[in-house]
Amino acid sequence: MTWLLAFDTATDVVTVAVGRDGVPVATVAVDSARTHAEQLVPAVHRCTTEAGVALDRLDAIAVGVGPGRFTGLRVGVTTAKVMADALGIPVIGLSTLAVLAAPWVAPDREVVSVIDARRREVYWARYRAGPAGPVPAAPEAVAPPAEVAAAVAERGPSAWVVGDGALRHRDLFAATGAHLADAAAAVPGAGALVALGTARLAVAPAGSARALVPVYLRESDAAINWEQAARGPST
Amino acid sequence: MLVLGIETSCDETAAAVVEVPPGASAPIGLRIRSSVVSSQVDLHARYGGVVPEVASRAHVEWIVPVVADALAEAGVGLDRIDAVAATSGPGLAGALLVGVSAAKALALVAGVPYVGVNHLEAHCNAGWLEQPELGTPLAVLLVSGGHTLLVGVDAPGTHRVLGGTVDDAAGEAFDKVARFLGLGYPGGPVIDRLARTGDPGAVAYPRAMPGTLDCSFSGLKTAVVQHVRAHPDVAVADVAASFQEAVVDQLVSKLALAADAAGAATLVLGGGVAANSRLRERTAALAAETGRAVFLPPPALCTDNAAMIAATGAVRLVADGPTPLDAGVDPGLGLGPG
Repeated sequence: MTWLLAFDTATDVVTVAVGRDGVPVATVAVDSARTHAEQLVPAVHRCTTEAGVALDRLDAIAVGVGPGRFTGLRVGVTTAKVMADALGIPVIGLSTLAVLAAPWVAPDREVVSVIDARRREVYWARYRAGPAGPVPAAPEAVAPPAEVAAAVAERGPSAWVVGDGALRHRDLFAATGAHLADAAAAVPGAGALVALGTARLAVAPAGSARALVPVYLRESDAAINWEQAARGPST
Repeated sequence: MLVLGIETSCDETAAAVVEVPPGASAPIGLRIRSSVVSSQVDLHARYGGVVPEVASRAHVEWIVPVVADALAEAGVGLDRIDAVAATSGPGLAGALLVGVSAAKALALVAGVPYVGVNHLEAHCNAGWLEQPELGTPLAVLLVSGGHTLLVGVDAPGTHRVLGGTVDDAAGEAFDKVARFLGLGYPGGPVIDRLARTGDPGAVAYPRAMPGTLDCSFSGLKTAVVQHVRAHPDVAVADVAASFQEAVVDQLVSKLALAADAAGAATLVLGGGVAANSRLRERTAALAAETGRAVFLPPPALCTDNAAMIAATGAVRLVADGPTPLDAGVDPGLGLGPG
């Protein structure tokens, strides 16, 4: 029996799941805009208690590493790596974009995952069906939504668009002719987290907790701003 | 009882294990079993100051090895830890969240209480860790890149704020002036070093807010900039020495007022600027002139460290009980009465 704790904090929703042999047995989802640090650990506690599994019985922890909100990502990745290191179990970093796409990819359908990146940009990637979940057909990137919509339009009506970025820019993506998934497909799902985490655990050695970092895709804005300010008058 | 402390409020990733006598209600009689600090100073040097996003990213990379080192140096596993404390404010929001998330995760795994700690209160407690015999009341000058505070301590573990800066922190003034003079970052050590070869009386920079317990440093920074622009040939060492003297003059005169207000028996320095050699010299002289004792903690206890967080966490756990796991961070937290 394989017990997996999985969570994602890259979007406004904190999703936590406990899976047994690849199937979720307990899930908690909290809509928590800016309060991931408050919500995550209590949600993990609720979820493991509901699943009836002691933390020291867990075989691995899977966490969404983004891209997404920087602050949320740091809360999730820090919690996952610290717990995994303390428990002496592997930690698996999952792409939040792949988790979003996982429930929807099919042999005759590509899925474009779009996460709101604020500042008039989105994080996105394109996936097709593979033997153990979604396989990237285009790498993760950050771009203006119109550019992503143009790429979606090229795929034609067989493409699906999912994620909170798709909902935020609904008009733009509706005009592409692609199928626009509803709110249920806007945030990472517990089932996909458990399925992808378990599949990864089976095929690849999990990474070291120390090396796990969020996928930011964007340079530190603060560093860029600082450099711009430093070029101005220094009084 | 063993308390694991975590500090990530600014640009140091730190963890420590402190041994506490059972039921300790004051930060006295504690033993530091380990104290590990990983400084990011090199990461921020190119920006001339701490960049919050850069600091937050580095904390995520360092938190696991720093905690592991603290446990290893203390010679204990997580199963021996009785509580986990972390700085929950004040500080940089994104940086605080890393330490708090780590502490909650460890508390959950170990099945022990989590305690959120006020960073400023911890600085006030730091002196006791090195010198348990301090004669109260204390007048504490807490002075760093983020804070400039005068605090009265009537008994171990208590504090009342007597005054503080109304604008920049003193350490911030050192960084800004060093950047303007092209001396690099951090500004404190480089100005301290350069000032030794300069004349502190060369330029009469202003001493702000005389006769009050509050401080101000933004006007001083502007005065230095204007003076150097008007006198481009001035010796940089003289500017450094005169600027430092103006900062130290202001701090020491306020500390003298605070000591009177607190009826202090002992003067104590804390914070990164407490490593400044001129400030230490002048504080010792003030103590001698006014017949008070003085305690100048070693720089490792003045600057941000997790031993003071663990010690304060132990005291707070006894006084207030555990902090709920759904508590957040408070970047603007002040030092209230306590």
